[in-house]
Amino acid sequence: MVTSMTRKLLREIVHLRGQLVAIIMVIGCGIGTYVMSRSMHTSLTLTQHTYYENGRYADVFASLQRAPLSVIDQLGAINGVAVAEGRTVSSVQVDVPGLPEPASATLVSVSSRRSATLNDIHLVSGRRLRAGATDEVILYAPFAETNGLVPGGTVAAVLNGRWRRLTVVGTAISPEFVIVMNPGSLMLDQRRVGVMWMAEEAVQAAYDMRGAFNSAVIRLFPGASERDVCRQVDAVLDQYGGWGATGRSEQLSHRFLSDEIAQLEVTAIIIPLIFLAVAIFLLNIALTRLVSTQRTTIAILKAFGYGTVSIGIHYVGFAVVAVLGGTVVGVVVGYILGIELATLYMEFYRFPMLVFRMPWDVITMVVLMSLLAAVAGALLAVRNAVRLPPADAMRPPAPRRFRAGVLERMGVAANLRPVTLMILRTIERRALRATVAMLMIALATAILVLGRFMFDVMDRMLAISFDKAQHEDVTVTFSKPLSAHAIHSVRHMPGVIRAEPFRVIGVEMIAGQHRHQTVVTSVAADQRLRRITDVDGHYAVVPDDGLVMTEYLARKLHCRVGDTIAIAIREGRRDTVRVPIVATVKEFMGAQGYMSPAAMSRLLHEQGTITGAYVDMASDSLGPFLIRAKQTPAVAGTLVRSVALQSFRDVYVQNMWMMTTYIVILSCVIAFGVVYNSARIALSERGTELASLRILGMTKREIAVVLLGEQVLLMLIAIPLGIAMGYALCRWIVGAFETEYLRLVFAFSSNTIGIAASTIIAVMAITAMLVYRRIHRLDLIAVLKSRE
Amino acid sequence: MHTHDQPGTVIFEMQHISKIYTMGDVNVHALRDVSLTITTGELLVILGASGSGKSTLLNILGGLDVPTSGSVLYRGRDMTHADDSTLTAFRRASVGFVFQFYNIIPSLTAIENVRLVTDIADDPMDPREALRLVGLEDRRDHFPAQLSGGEQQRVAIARAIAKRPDVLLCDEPTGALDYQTGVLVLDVIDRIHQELDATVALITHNASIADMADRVLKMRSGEIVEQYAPTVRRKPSELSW
Repeated sequence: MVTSMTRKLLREIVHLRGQLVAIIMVIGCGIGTYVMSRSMHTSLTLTQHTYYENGRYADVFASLQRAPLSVIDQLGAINGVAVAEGRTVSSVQVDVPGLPEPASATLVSVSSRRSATLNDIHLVSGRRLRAGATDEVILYAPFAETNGLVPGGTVAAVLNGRWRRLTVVGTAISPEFVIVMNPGSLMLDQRRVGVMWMAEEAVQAAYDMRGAFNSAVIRLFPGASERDVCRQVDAVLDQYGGWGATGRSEQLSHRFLSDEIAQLEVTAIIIPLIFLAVAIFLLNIALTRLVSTQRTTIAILKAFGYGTVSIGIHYVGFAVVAVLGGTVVGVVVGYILGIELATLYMEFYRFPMLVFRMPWDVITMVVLMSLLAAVAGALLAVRNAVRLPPADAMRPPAPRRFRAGVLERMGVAANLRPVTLMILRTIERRALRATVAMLMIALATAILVLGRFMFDVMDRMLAISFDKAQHEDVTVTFSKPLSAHAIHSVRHMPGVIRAEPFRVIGVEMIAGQHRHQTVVTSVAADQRLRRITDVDGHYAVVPDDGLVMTEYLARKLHCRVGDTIAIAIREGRRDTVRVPIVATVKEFMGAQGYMSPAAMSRLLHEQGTITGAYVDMASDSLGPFLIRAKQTPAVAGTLVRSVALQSFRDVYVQNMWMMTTYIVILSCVIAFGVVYNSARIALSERGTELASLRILGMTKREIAVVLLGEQVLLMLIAIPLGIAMGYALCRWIVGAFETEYLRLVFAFSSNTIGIAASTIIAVMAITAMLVYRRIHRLDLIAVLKSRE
Repeated sequence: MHTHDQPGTVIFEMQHISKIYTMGDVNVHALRDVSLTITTGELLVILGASGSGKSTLLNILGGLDVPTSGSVLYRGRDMTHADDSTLTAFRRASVGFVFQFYNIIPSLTAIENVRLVTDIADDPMDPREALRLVGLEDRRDHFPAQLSGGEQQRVAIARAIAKRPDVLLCDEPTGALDYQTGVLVLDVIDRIHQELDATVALITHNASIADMADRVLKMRSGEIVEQYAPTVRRKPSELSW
């Protein structure tokens, strides 16, 4: 049976539905975000793990020049190694029908002993390779799909300098290649960068690698030390041109994916906390108001013999309903969004399956915590009212006490209009509440700034990359080092205006116990098409001697300008030489080194070999140039600047729009929740006052100014404060966000300020309209009869 | 206050006014076929028990409400079906209200409460002058919470007269006050009536107050049941209850 008290609570909930809905929305957003990010995080982690396990993804990777297959047994014998396999891996240029420029792919040999295969492929279409088939290939599914290649089709590829026509028999994905991109490039370009799997025998034949391998993949026993195994693998492979073994964390695909999943966890904590804080504030002010309008009711209840506790529980019921309502909304919306987004991620990363799981235990805990916090907030509001003796509570409250305050002491009161004074004194009297409300609006503004600021950062980074650093139209890379004369061949290709050669060498930089695998690229003094540029857009100069390196790398290696480090060259004579660091440059992408061509020649004991060229083109010659490049076996790949820029925009800008939309919704909910609740409560507290003003002959518009003036004033303080908070937050994020692939460049445009401010103002305007409707309905006569 | 009017000029003319409130499923006849004329410079006391319809009558006079049927003329202008903005403008320019519960703004000092009205009036008096008229010039910088009930009511009166309204409407102005304070407030109203030649309509359930009126209306169940002019007009200080 429904008790009278429950009935009373239910009716009051219906009466206060507007405010309650706003609070439920805020709580719903918080819990929804939590459920969404948490379930996504759990599911994606689980999916990643399952995918890795099913595909027997290796734990340790080692590249080398060439070793006989018997060496694999030595690797397998290392303590902690469960399985070791050898394979042949190479970069190849691919001619895809319909694609103007040549594509590049990683060619991976696949053992015919299927049961033994680590990094197993997952077939998406077609069939597996026949053992020993020399012209069959399985393509990386996203690469095949974006290029319209299906089983039965053909592609041409340069295998070890010779063009080969290959039949596509299937498309596949692999845990090793969740993300495929060119190292040093920021974009996913699935049309131009791919993976090809071929039968082991065919690859070995093409590359003269019979009975040998150039890539080892190793799976460890649980609990084995990755570090120890790597060290021992290095010891074995050193004489075979080993590049140094690394764990999964150095694998681009794994790292990228794990970083992305880890980011979800941050969202899962920070955003719900913000919402919860806002919700508790709103609940507290709404309940404080509800209780103060019900002083007499409380007194009557007490006179009837209801105890303090049961009355307290009654009002706390409001908070419970809000949290439960928010939980239902949050869990449902979060669950739906979680599945939707996890599915999007699954499709984006091409996981073969999605293991969706709701982490109910953590979700339950968060709901309980929200409940606890809300109840605490509610009790604080109810405490004073239930403490009053019934006789006191039945008397009307004394007129709200206003006394001379700051305004009077400052002597400005006399010069202000009474309406302005009403607004200012109300704020002054409820300084704490007004401050908290103002801070919450500022927070919403700051969140907006944060959402929009990533566009500024991306714009800035694009500007530095594409306007300052990269002036070439096309970057051509060769399949192996060529003599310096090769640049003349490039210059004679169709439409070339200018071509500048470069040499890239793979190295390991060693400073004490700190090591880093990377590349060193040559930079000529008169090089114009590609410049080394720092985050501020300044050009770095590469002196004739010594090594220039990314500042991030110098920090990672714990060395600075003036130090000498060891460079182990991973090609040619494989020397280890000592080189002084002559400068560092604050680049935002990658972690690499630069040398003058002369210094590099000395390092390599070579006469000016080159591995690629930057090319400046006549504007209409790109097509013929790319056709020629495709026909040139020495060309491993081409990177067209305009295409790179476009694909960057396609992928990142679209993702950022999604993120921004989400952030705008979140901050609008906060701003709306705070402004609407504050205005509604002000309307309830000051209904008599406002009706009196109407009776005195003020128009609705004039009293709207009195009511909303407070909110507008708070907003006017909150917006600049929020922008300042957002600015500081952005600065902090730029400083804190640092990966090996990317550092952020600080940028902050007036657009960001404009969008944040105008969004908050728009929310304010909508809220004002809603509240204005209430003003319209003020019952003037009823107000005169009430004593309050 | 329209001092240029000849005494006896008709301000309000109400003909066959009825007012029916719908409270849930019940119709309440607050006024039944009331006709009334108010002329300049008179002090009218409307007497009646609670529920007699006197407040409804005052609310219609003051432009806070419109009748269900009948007609209201204010200085010859038909106000029967006036819309909200017309009524607002009417209240703003022509009516001064005084209520039982003062309804003064707690966040404004006495003088600021008066300025609130003089700021939006066409030809207001100096707010200090209005406060002087109610004997509160010394308390002008006090906030309502620092004033007694009687003082608060006098601020309300000052606020009502500061715009020089055509008519001063007082709804139980002494209802929340003790005897002494009540007399003091009535004295202020009487003085304003005398000194400014103001037209005043005052409603009360207190029959003793009727003796300060030029004319008395008695109401019961929404009807005017008696109308008379007191034989001896007394000063508020001579009243007792």
